[in-house]
Amino acid sequence: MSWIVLFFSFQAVLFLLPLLPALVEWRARRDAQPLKVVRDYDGNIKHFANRFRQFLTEQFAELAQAAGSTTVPRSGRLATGDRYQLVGADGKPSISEQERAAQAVEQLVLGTSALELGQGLLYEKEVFAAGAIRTGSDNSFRALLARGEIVLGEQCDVLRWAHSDTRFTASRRARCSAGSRPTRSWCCMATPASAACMRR
Amino acid sequence: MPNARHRLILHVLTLFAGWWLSLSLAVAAAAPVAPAVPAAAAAAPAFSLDPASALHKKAENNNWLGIQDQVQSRHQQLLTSRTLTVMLYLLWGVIALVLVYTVRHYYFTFNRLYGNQRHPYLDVDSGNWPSVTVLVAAHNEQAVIADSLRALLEVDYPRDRLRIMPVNDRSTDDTRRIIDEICAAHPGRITPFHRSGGKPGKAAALKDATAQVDSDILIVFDADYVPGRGLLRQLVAPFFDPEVGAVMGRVVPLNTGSNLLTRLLDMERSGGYQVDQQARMNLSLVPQYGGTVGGVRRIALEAIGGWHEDALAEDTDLTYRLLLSGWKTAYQNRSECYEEVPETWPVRVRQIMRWSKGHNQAAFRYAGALLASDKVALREKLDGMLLLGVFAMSPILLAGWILAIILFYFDANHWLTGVLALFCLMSYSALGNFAAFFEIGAAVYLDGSRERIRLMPLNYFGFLVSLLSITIATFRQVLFDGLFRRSLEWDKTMRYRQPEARP
Repeated sequence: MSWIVLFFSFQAVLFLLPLLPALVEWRARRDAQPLKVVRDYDGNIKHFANRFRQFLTEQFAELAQAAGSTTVPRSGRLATGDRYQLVGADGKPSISEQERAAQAVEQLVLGTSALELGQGLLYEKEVFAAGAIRTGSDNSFRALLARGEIVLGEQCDVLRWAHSDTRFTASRRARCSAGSRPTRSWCCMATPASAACMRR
Repeated sequence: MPNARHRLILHVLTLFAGWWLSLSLAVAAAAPVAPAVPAAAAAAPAFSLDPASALHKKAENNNWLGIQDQVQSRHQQLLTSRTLTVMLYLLWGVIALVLVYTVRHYYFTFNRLYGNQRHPYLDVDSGNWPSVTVLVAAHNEQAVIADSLRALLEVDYPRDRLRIMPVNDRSTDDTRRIIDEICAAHPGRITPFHRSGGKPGKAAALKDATAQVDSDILIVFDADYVPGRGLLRQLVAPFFDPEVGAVMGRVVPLNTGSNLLTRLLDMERSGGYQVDQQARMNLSLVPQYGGTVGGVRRIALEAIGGWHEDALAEDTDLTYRLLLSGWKTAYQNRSECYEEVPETWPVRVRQIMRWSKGHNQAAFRYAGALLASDKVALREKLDGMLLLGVFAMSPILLAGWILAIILFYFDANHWLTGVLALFCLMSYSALGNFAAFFEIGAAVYLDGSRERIRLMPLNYFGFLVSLLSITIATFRQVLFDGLFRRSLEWDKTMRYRQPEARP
């Protein structure tokens, strides 16, 4: 009799064993929330630009107030640990020797007016300008946002997105989103429909 | 360590695949079969596993498939050999059908995981947006209608091109009062359509409401849906493509955490939309218009004869009529909207029975036309037929299980054949029938939920309930509704949200 009980108990354990994680999750309810639906997500291709603009407004309220001021540049670090640099009216970010040697700028570059960027550098963080952004050749950018026009120099890459409130111009052999999809639409469609998208 | 673990997993999988392959080959190979023997003699079969032995029965009755098709039974007084042979062929037919659906599930899942994803209308940002009427189907929806209308009032769409039309279908609760109150609070934004008579059912109500509409596009929501601000633009964007006749968004359960049933249904819905629908979109097959969180082009609707008020599943009905007329249905996976799913098993059973009857009704109506159509591509025909047959598979699968059990116990052949048949059934259950679980697993993975995937084995019980419910519904539909010409009745799904407290 006891052997029969043991046998059926063993069978029951064997049957329940694969169900154990399911039963634990059923009772523990660690992941019982509805899937998150981003109700404000509207498929708008300006989404990233808008979100970045919102981020800047929240983080750098003083940037808007100091737009055009000559009292900047200054630099600092965000709560996220990312470094940033505010660029003054001269429009030229200060690039350290270390960054020049590494050919990489590892900080957010935020222009209070127009930005004039040199050549041959990888901007690993986003670049923003309250005015226009004009870049030299052979640069790579993670993302660009400008209230004025953006003129992308020769052989420049934009890895994620670029948005200009007025006009976006890409020089010869400039490329958008080399590694991401969709490659074609990022740069061109990120400008308002009424603004021109030009390729020199 | 990870490499060692991967190697171990690889070894286990290889062993498992080898075991399954050898089993399959053993079954497919010519099986030894005893010639016809008297029933008394068969009670004590003498055999040998050694092929060289005189007692080893050589295969004498295999057909070209290698299937042992001359069944000898010790129970011929109950079932004749001929009956058993027919049953065997029926079983193989069932297995072949299940195999087709299995391949389909795997194909869709792999496409979703590794294939090119097609979201052709996602980047439509600006344009001359067409005029839209949003129809909100409501029958006794006092608990939810207010949320839905308020959300629609906030959507991001040109106001002069948007008309919100709650379709109050013979409600006997406070639905009418709530609609009128919201309408009065937002003059000019909402055009209510109150229906106090006529044929019951969503399709009939939509048909009457559509007669009042002159917009280019009709978007349909159920009253328990709470659309986001950008949802309308996303749903309308595909209509810039002149070939698109209907569009469908993704439905996400809101009351997921209520109980085990809602959690299981949440995963099932994920599989259906995240994998199944999107894979069909990727492969240019037949994404299904789902009746809500979707829309239809008015001229396309008029061209196919409007809503069929006798359709129990007006969504499936519309999908196939559009397909047969050469219109495409687009699926927008990122156009997500919350809905409520049943919280009790009886409600779930009634819902799945209604879906089943509606889907089968569409299958009876359009399967022949689909096969004969010269407007539909071959791949769409194939997918369309498989989609039509989805609910027919439950009774077929159940019949397969019953056939397998009968054949197992009545088959008087070599004992090894019986054991092999048992293993074959087990491996088919584990690898074939369970392909739907693979789809669900992939969907949950794509959704980024990590813990809920552990619940997946329990979905088996949900599937069993669905299997039986669909089978019962199909039998009732074929035997009673068909024979006695009973009209199919609409059954509304229960809502669980409580109406807001009012001062």
